[in-house]
Amino acid sequence: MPNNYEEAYSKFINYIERQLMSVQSKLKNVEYYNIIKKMINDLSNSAKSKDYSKFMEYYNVLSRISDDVKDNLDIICYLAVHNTCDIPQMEEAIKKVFSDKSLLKMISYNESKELLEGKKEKLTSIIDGTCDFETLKNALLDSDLEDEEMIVILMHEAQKTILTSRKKLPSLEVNENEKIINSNNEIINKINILIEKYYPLVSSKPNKLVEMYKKLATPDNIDSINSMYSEKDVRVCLHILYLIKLKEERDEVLNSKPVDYQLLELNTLELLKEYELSCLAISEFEKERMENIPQETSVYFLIDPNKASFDLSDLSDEEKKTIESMIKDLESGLFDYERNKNAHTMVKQNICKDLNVFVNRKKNICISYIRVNSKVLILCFGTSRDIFDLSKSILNTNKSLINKTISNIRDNDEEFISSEEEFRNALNQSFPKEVEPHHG
Amino acid sequence: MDKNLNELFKEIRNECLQIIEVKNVDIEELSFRMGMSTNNLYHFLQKRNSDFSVYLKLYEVLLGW
Repeated sequence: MPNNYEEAYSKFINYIERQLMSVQSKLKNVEYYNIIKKMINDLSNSAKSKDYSKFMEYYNVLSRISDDVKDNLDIICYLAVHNTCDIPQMEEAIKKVFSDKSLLKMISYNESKELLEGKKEKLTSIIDGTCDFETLKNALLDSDLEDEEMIVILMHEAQKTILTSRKKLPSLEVNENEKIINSNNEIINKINILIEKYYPLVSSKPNKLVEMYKKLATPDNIDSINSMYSEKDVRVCLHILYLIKLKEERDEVLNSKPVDYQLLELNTLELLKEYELSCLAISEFEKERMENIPQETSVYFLIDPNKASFDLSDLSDEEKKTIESMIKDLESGLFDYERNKNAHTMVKQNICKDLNVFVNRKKNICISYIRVNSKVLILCFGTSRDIFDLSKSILNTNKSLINKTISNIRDNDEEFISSEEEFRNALNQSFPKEVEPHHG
Repeated sequence: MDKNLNELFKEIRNECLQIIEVKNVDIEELSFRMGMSTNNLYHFLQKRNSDFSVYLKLYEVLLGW
């Protein structure tokens, strides 16, 4: 997701240009429909006074509306030219022209030309960069941009507006300076709460890693920490470290004499923006943390239609037992792929951009699976050497089956659930039975 | 920004290669813990990937080896 200003702004302008094209096209329609409305009004008066010359005069314009209008105008003009206007066919043809659906649609079109021109003016002023902050803000909120992109643009524009208005109002300097300090303190208080709560995430990492994080903790670099790994805590750590850096800069400004209020104001804006972005990263992290609280769940298999995506027949009893116990672990919600050397998230790469594939390992057996909401779809079993290639191959060759199965799991499809139960029973039969201890 | 990331990539890669050598790390096991095949791991080490999270993960895994 782009969140640097240039990228977000260019996306916004692109959206505004599309809006402008749509408004311009509506304006053209309104102008054309107004001409048609005037002509129909004239024709209605002419028909009442039985003067049919106007029908011939407007023929070229009106006959383009529809084939029916053209056919009936042909009849009217023919009858008028041959002086046979009093026959019922004339009245009927006129009625048909006035009740033509395409024509009525044009006449009843009720977009206001003035409103459209107002909209056009506002959109043009946004593109020219001459609009006021309020206009830009409203257009932005109506746009299809992501929240994060809106925030980036709003912060940038707010900064420009504040700096411009400050230049215009030097007499208010004393009060304004107090305001700047107050708003800076306000945001610092909020940020302190975030730091206090989430700094332990940073301090729990090895020192050398934290040093590397510190080098990376700039807004542009944080963007390069994407979603190849699902660990959202890395982004949170980087945001927290950047907030600490901004706080240090703020202290430096406040301790310098005289205080540079313009610099402090810029620092406040940067803190505000970073606070918003940190909150977004934290909410994603918390969501992921909630999803990983162990709870019992259902496990499903990829069946096409009666054949699974794996074959256990060549495995030893010991290996089958391991697989059975791994399935049971998943059913109890033990998704221990996080930071556990026995279990890992598969790197997304190009084959499965929208899917996180997880791999758990026990003894020498690995199991790969996808999580659908809180449920589990097992892809295959393998060794730690081949599990990733096997999973990739299944993802590549069974795209539609995987999508269908995911949608069945989401919809709780009855037929699907019953065929899964059948499959599961057969699978359970293939697991070795515990031998009852022999008594006596 | 890119220059900075390129430098950090070189730095983190050198650190990682050093740990691999000193701790005699099994590359197959390392690839598994990284969630990828050995070939992919070589590929990520050869050329900087646009998603830097892969190197942070690698460094973290190796520091805990």
